[in-house]
This record gives sequence, structure tokens and C-alpha cells, in this order.
Amino acid sequence: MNPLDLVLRPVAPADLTALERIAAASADAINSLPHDREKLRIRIERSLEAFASQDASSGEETYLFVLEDLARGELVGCSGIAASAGFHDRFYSYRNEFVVHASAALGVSQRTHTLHLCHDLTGYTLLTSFYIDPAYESGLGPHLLSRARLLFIAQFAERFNDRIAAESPGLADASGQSPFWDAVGRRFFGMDYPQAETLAGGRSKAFIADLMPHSAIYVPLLPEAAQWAIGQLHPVAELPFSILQDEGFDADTYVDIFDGGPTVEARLAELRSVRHARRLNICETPVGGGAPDWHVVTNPQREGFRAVLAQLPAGTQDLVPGDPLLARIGAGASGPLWVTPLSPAPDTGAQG
Amino acid sequence: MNAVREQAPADVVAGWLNQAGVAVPAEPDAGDVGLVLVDPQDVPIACLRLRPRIGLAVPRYSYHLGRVVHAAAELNLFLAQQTLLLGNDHTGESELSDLACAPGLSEAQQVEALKQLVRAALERIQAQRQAFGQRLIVELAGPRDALGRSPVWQGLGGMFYSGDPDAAQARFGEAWRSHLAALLPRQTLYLSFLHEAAQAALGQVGAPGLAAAQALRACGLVFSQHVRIDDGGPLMEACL
Repeated sequence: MNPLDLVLRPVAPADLTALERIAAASADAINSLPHDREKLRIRIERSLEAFASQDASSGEETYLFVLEDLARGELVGCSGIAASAGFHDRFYSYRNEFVVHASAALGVSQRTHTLHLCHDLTGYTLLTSFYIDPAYESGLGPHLLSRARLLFIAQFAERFNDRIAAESPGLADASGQSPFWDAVGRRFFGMDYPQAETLAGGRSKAFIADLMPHSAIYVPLLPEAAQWAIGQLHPVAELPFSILQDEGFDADTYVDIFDGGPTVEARLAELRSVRHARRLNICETPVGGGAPDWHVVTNPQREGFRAVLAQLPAGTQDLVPGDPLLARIGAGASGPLWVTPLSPAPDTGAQG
Repeated sequence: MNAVREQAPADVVAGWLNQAGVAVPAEPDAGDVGLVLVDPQDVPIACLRLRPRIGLAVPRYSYHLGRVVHAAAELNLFLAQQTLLLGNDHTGESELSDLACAPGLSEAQQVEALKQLVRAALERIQAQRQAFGQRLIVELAGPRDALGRSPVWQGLGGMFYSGDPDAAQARFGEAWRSHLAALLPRQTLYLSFLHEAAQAALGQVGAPGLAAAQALRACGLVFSQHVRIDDGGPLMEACL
């Protein structure tokens, strides 16, 4: 496929059937799309409301983007944003902490890994719902799908928190059994993980977390399989996770309270795509040059948001009127484009 | 007719195993009261040691067994979980230790002998009430498997100290458990995180403590909802 045929845009009502196909293909894991047409229709409606809502954000907005291959006229992926983790309630995570216990008499000093139930990430803006058609995994599509969200957040910063988090599904077998759940959650729920997920439905996690132990979990007391699962990824999450790591998200501090998967977090302004983002003006006499490189380009609209991939010279700051990129992104006359390189030189753009 | 004498047990009974599974020490601490039961031929058949105040020089640790309920009406879940909390709950209290019998006594004879001694100790306390604490406690050995391993140690203490607990006990005496406590979790533990064998063994009496447990129950002592931090053996107590 040609990267120039890919466009990211807000989900539309007509996408329901295609979205249903995507949901069926995605793993049954945290933050995946519901496998249910009616729930998907509601997701689309909520996203339409979020994109259309006025600037005062309530925190309940969930934005859903879709990736379309224009050459085939098909949706090939999706990604989302929840404006505020936990909404008006609490968002639970386990925080990794280390405590050193020492006894001079016994000649022992040792570092013990503990997990602390916390609300640290409540109110953070959450990246959600990443899915890419396997045929598009190896191309640039996943980068457009993941990184364009960050430029959307940066452009409409008043709607979001300045700290961003993203959950990733943790280790689980083909039937959805998770070693971390088996060692922790199951003791307090007496049920399988998929069953607990179903029972919890669309409710906030606070509901489930009330049942979890509120004191620290001493990791050495857990079975080895569960210890090993802490901070480990489900294989389906490796690609989106690696993109977030490249952006500079921290993956060492928080894990999911159910399956132990890593929950990454960062300040928006410190993320690579945001640090390197710059405006692209329309100008008859462009300056800047250099070898062309792949960039994510976004228009400045909210409901009419579009993001595409383009090869631009590394230092370019302007586009000539009539550049084909303008037609692809549908910017019209409503303002400058934003652009960020997919692979920036490591020593540039750090001035924010 | 047996008789109770007040004397340091070590003089006559060195080498007997006490209710915690440890040899009665040769040198008792100053201030402790030793009681020895002798038979009509004046042969010692049992002993104990009464300690007026514990935990004032070296901190004394135990785990308190508690309960916490996690309920979610919507899920129809109501689960009572048992918890363990490390603490020094018996600081300043009184203790009976080194309850031991002469080798060769039947279990019934051991229970009878220890009952006589415990009653004598209770009388001794009443005679000088202000010298003793609010409670009287006794630590009992926890269970061991056929290979001599403690399931509670393997499921809990052993996760935080990789050395040999018996060797450490031999080296440090009872202060060993104060050293161990520095390595153990300080926050509330949920019992359900321990191996099943460890959960089952917690608060159970091991072989060295069985006769003493019977005698103590007969004298009105009950399980105190505390256990030893190494082998999970129960602490029995009476309000004085």
C-alpha cells in the first residue's frame, strides 16, 4: 500500500459496519473496542459529540479516530483519546515501589518490589483503542494512527490534561486467562478475568478496585508466573507500545491492576512528536530544504480534523499554494498545518 | 505428692525441649521467676519460666490476625479476608516460657505436670500483681513437615530472609525474631497471598507445643489472634 493513500479522520456514523469488523479482529483486552454493534454505535455517537463539543471540556469526552486507505476505500485501523482518566471518579493503577529492608545483625540488606494501589493517573488524558489491520502493521500506518493523536491533543490542549497515559494489555493466554489476575484479582473476586471484565461492563474501574486489597502487595509472595507478568505486554500490544516508548513515555512506574500490563505516562510537552512539531505556512517563496523525510501532517480543524503522511524536506517551514498535500489534508483556508517528523534527528527540536 | 519449687530451671533441666521446640537455656534472664515441679522422690519432672515484662529491652514482634471485608453489592460479592499485621502488641506484658517436661513422660503426664506449674505461676502473679502486665502470653511452636520444614516459614519469612532460621535461632536466641522482623513486610498482608500450606499451618500448634497448649487451655488461656513471625505458631493469652 502507498502511505500517501492513508488518511486519519474522526469516526463517522457510516463507519459502523467497518468498525464492527475491526472490533471482531482485535484482541479481547483492556481498552479494545466492544464486540457489540449497539455499543459501537454508542461509541461513535459519543465521539461525534466530543469532536462537536464546545471548548469547555467536561472530561467525559472520548474521541475515536479511524485510519482509511483511500485507494481501497476501507478502514484499516482506529485509535482513540479519553479526555480524562477515571472521568469524575477515580482511575486506579498499581505503582511499582521498592522498599529496602535491612538487618545489620543478620547481615542482610535487600530490595523488595511492592505494588501500591494508587489514583495517581486520575484525570490524565488517556490514549485508547489502538488497532491496525495486520496487513498494515509493517508500514507507516501505525505511526500515523498513534502519533497524529498527540498533535490533536497539542492543538486542542485546553480540552486535555497536560499529562498523558496509555494502558497496554498485559500477558494473557488464548482464552483470556491472565497469570497476574489469577494471583491477585481472582483471590478477591473468585472469578475468571474475562468474567470480571464482563460483569464490570462499562463501569469505571473504581467499582472493581473497591474489592482489591488496599495495602501494598509484596511481589515476592506472588507465584513466579505472576511476578514475571508484572509490566509484561500482550504480544498484540508490542507495536503500539514501541511507538509510545519512542515518543518518550515512561513505562516503569505503573501497571494495570487487573492484568499487570504496563501503563505508560508522560508530559505531553515532552513527547517527541510534540517537541518536534512545527507550523507549516502557505508561502510563495518557501525556505528550508534538505533531504525529504516522512512526516505526519495535520490540519488545524477539530470536527474536520485530518492527518496524513507526507515526504517533506527536514527543515521545511512553508508550502507553496497548490501543493497537492493541501488537497489531501483538506485544510482549506482555515489556518496553518502542523507537521512533525516520524524520525527526527535526535538533537533537534528540543527547544519545545 | 508433687511439689512446685521456685528455682532457676536451668540448674536441673538443661537440655529439655520447651513448648516452642527450643532447648531450655542454661542461663535464665535476671528478674525471671523459675518454677520447677518435682515428684515425691524430689526428681524434677517439669519446669517453666515466668517473665514479668517483655519487649522492653529488645522489641518483641508478632503477627496479628485480623479480618477485612471487601463487599460489592452490585456484584453480589461479600468476601471476608484474613490479614496479618506485624506489630509489638505485647510490649510490657508478661510471659510464660520454657514450659518443658522431663523426657519419658506420657502426654497425659506432661499435661498434668504443666497444669500444676501454670496454676502455680498464676498464683505467683496474683501475689505480686503490680510487677506484671495486663496480659500473660505464651508462644507455641508452629507445625513442621516430615522433613522438619515449617510451611509458614517457607511461604512467608523465607521469601524475605534466605538464611536458615534454625541456625539463626541457635546463634541469636530469641533475639533472632527481632532481627528477622526488620526484613519482613511492615504493611498489612492478605493471608490469601500465601501458599495454601502456609495458610493452613498458620496458628496451628506444632508437636513440641501440644502438651503445653492443652495445659494452658485447661488453665483458661485462649488463642490471642497473634502468631509467631517465623513458624506461625499461635500465641495464647490470659487477661490478668
